[in-house]
Amino acid sequence: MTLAVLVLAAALAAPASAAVNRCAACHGGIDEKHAALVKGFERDIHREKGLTCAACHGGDPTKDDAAEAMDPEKGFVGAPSKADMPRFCGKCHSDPAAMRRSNPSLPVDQELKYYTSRHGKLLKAGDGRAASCADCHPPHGMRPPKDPTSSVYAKNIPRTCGTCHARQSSDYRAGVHGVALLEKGDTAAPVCNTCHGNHGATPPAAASIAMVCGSCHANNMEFFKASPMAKAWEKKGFHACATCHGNHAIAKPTPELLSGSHAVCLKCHAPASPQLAAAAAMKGTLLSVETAYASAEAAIKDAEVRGMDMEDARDALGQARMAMYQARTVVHSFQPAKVQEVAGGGADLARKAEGEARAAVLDFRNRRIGLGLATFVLTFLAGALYLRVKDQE
Amino acid sequence: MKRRTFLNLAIVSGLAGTASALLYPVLRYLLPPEEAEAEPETVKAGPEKDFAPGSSKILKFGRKPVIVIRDLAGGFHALSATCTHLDCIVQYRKDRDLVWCACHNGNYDLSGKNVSGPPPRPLDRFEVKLVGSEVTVLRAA
Repeated sequence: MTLAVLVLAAALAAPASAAVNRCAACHGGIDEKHAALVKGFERDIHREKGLTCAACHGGDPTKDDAAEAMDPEKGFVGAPSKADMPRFCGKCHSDPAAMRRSNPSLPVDQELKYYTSRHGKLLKAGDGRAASCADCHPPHGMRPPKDPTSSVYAKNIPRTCGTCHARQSSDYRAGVHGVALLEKGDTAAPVCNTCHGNHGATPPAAASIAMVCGSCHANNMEFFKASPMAKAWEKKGFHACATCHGNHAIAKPTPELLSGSHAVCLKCHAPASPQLAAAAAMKGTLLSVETAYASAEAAIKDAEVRGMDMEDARDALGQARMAMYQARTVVHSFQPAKVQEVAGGGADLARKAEGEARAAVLDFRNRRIGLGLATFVLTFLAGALYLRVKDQE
Repeated sequence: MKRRTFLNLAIVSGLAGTASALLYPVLRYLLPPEEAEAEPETVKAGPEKDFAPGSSKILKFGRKPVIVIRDLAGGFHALSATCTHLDCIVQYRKDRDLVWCACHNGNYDLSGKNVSGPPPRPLDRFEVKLVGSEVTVLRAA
């Protein structure tokens, strides 16, 4: 154990900076908790940047004597309290000169932003449960956000935020964005901080939700903002997109949202109203293109498993899919005729693709029949030849 | 019918059938296929005059969609038209002079590099050459 600590201490003292660092020699041997801290720091991004324990905790790391090494006269501050944490990290992270030396591309307004966040405001008000720097960036082993082992790597953020916000994290995982990120591995899918911000994390206000969602779903936002619904939403104080789609557990939108017992339109409009009739018309149009698409896709798969080349049909199906997506987007204009215009083209393309697939399957069957016939003819010929030769003899 | 006559007839029919079975695939091979060539090296995009500065056209390069863009300065660019995020078809935005994917607001510059939004990698690039007054797209070397 002592040898391991000495080796580790030497390793910690060695890297980018040649500065002497005796801290690990003592702290690594105190108990398991301290040994883990020392071990964790071995792969900490701060260490990689040449910083040692004293860069954060102060004191004199060249001294073997504990009292001398941890002398407040020599700037020793020890471990900060939660309330002091933002200032503690901000010593460097809010100092442009310090950050220019270690990571010039990193912004220096995290501390400033933190105090504008819900977390920062609560902490300032004395709420010890509010998240501070170390809650999201566990010290002594901290990794940059692009490192898959980092607590703030995209795929790990739901877990990190979920430490406190368990329900929201669980809802997110079940939603379309959580599935895209965590199950399909799409690291471009939005995660907690995409909508809430990170250091300045705060729930988006009702007025800004459309902008937040619209940063990816740009056309949906444009159609919605240009529709008469936008003003009605504003008057009623609705939370834009979240009113129909929810927030964390955003379900994959289906035509069922428009009409029927699960229709979100029913929140405001009567079942027999003209608005619900328009919604039902849009639902019918979407269902029509979706059904044509699903049928074409099944037919293409059926042809592909038989070894038929379906590249052209796949291409037509791809165009149909685009039209289907566009039709779903145009729904946000709340104009059934526009939806029909876009979706109709998509359904035609899907039917064309299905026709090609069915023709390919027919071709496959014809080939098998041809093979059977050819085999029969050859067998028949062989038999006839055999008998003819025998007859000759 | 005599046995020998029947057998002769059967052999002639069998030979004719065998010849047909052999000739049919040969004929199918010799006739030009209905579908376009799968992996062409070049594709004509149309006369230069059809491409005003700040315009674009989506065409098929074999079976893949390619977007040919004439930028505001008059230069030509050809890129794969399939977004690298979720395979939507991209479009040229004259107002921003970049390539845009409407599905999730992904943006690429005219060299195909993904510059903002969800796309994880650049669009594949193609070469564009003027052959006489004809805009021709070539597979990138």
